[in-house]
Amino acid sequence: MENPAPAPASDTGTTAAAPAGSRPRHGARGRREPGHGPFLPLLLLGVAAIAWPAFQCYQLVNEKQALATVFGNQAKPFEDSGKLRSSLDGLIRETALLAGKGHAGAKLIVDELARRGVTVSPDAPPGEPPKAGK
Amino acid sequence: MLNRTEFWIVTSLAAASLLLMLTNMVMVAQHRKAQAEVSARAQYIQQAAQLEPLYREVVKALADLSVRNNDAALREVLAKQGITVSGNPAPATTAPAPGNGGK
Repeated sequence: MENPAPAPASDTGTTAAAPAGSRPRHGARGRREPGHGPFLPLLLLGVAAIAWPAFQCYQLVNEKQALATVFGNQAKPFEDSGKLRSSLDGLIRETALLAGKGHAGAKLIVDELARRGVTVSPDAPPGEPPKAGK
Repeated sequence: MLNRTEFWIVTSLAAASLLLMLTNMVMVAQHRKAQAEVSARAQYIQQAAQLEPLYREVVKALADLSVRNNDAALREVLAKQGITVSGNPAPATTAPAPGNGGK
């Protein structure tokens, strides 16, 4: 009767005898473990890099519309202000010119204006309104 | 490494992000300019509103004097601004409400 001898250690597998550091990794070449590639983090980064400026852009568009509305609402008061200023400038300048010629009534008004701190110079150019760029 | 599809997806996202950033930069600059303009106009309007009482007083004083002294020169000054003064009983001034076509 033949008793089968146990297989020698060298036959059962080389891995047991090989040092741990030099063990070949199963599937190290050619196969990639899922979830460790750079695509997902890059995708998340890209989405974040788009989402933030997109949100800012949206906010800016909203604010731009609000500013346009304010600008539109200012049109009439702005025009009226210009008319008032030019009318007042004209009145005061003409009065000052008249006062300069020795007109008593005009002098009275110019003196009263000066007393209130309104300086009158007939040669001064009229004030420029802010530039309407829109 | 990224495969071909992944590479193009990530590159497209990066390009879109860059484009949005540039758009944002331009829009922020425009926004600041518009804001400055609106606030300058608001200040101009506010200052004019403060001048309105003075305007009314000057017109009233000129009209009073022109009627009291029957002064043609003062009347002419007012007339140049589109303000007519009737010389009868009370000094009735037709000072135009600024901006209502008084000129």
